[in-house]
Amino acid sequence: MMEEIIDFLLRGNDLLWSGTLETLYMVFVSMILGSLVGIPLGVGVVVTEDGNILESKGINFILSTIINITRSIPFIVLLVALIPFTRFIVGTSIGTTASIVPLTVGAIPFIGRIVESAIKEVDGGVIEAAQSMGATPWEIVTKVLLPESLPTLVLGLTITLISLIGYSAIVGAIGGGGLGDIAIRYGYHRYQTDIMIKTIILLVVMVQLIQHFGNLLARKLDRS
Amino acid sequence: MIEIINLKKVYSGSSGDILAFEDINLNIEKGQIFGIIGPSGAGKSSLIRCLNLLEDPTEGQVIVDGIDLTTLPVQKLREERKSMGMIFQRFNLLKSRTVASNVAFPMEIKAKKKSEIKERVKELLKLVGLEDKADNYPSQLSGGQQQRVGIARALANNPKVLLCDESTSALDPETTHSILDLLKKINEELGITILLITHEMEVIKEICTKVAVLDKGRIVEQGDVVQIFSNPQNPTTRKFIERVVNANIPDELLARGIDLDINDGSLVRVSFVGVAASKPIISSLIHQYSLDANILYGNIDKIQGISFGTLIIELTGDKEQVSKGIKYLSSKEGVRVEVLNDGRNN
Repeated sequence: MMEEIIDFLLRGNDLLWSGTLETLYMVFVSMILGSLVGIPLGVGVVVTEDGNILESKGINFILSTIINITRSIPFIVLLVALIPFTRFIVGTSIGTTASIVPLTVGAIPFIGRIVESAIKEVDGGVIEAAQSMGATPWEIVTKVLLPESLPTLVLGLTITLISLIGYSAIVGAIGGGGLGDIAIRYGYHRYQTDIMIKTIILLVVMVQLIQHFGNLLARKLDRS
Repeated sequence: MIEIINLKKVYSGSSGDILAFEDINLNIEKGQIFGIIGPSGAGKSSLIRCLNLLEDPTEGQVIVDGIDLTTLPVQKLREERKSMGMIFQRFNLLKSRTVASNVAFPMEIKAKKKSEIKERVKELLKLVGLEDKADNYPSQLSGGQQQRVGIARALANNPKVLLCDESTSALDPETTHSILDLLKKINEELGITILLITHEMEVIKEICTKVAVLDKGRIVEQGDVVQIFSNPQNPTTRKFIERVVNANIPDELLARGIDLDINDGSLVRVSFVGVAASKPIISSLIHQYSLDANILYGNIDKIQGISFGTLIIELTGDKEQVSKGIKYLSSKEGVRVEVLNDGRNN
């Protein structure tokens, strides 16, 4: 059934197929890069809070300010503002690889907030127990905070992934590639309604699948 | 084993300082089961958290096995904590880990070899009677079983001391009993010093050898459990003990003591400890002073193998003889007499 649908959508249509791959490429790579920075950022904000394991007012202030500022910039503005930076890193500001830069920067504070709220849910008693055993802050982060909040983290990262698909369409609007780009160029500018509809279906299916597997994984990980 | 000197904890907040406790001086000897009892808000939880410095005491010293924890740099303190186990009211197990993996946790922190950890986990689960639950997750266990995992985990690194923070307060009476038995077994077989805090006198009665009573942040009384039970000095202590000892006295009976209307008798409560409990005191009283004794209530209990009991009796007879009788009872060692209603004034 699913294969038939995909076949209908993509058969004889290399354009949509490569668009789908481009979107997935942009979204997953920026998700991974964003996590590399966003997860430590979120953890950092929590552990430096008052009364937490690495209490530090200064660092906490800096980290939350970074998250707050980047979070409050609308993505389309961030995208344009980052063009010189993107050109510096990738050499161009057009194309899928170049899109990864603003997507990653946009994902970082998003992931940071999600990690922050997931980790805050970890029972303080469990942290106390680990401390009573002589665990170091690093051990508490890696052996208690992250594993204990994993189901919530997975759900949060699923939301991030879906938001990134949305962002990737915005990047598409300024020549970033992917399904969003195709929908605007062919569906909107050239009035090819069938392509517009097909991209919409593809995006909906993509989001549904990601949400489905995210939920599945979170449920599998949840032992409570 | 644990020496607490002039310990004081003050929480400073925006709305002023709050005193948790002060002037705490305790000496807990090796192999003891030492109980600290107090009503909620007495500062018990803060106190036990100051013993492994989960909270920093404001003043004073905590000396464990000759080492003053309050002066240690943080790395050294972490090392010392590895020789102190702790169990909690709400168990505080890692819900993402299996039972075996929870027990392994403190050994991972101590960087022990995997094979060694596996062996020890098996041993510990056997000790707490949960061999068959090794691969279960905490959420699949009952409260009592979870606390057993907590105990196994606390013992993993062969601690010298076990701190118990209200460790049975979330459990039903039967499970409480089995957990206390386990703690006693651990104390006897492994020689681990246990310090527990609780608000339940039952817990103290069942396993402690020494007790300290904490009220409004101060220790109001401390000593041998039997001695405290037989002769409590402080009103808080009395309240706690009465709750256990009078657990079965019907309220009507106690109320009757106040507006008593029976004959012209005197209603007295006689508490007795040790040998006194095994002597025919009441019988001699009746014979010697030719009194009638109507026993309205009686119970007998054992604390640390020593008999401990209460009788409520109504004495009738010649008023002078009643006075003499009461004096006779009071003169016996291990007997305490309390006149609930004085029939002699009628």
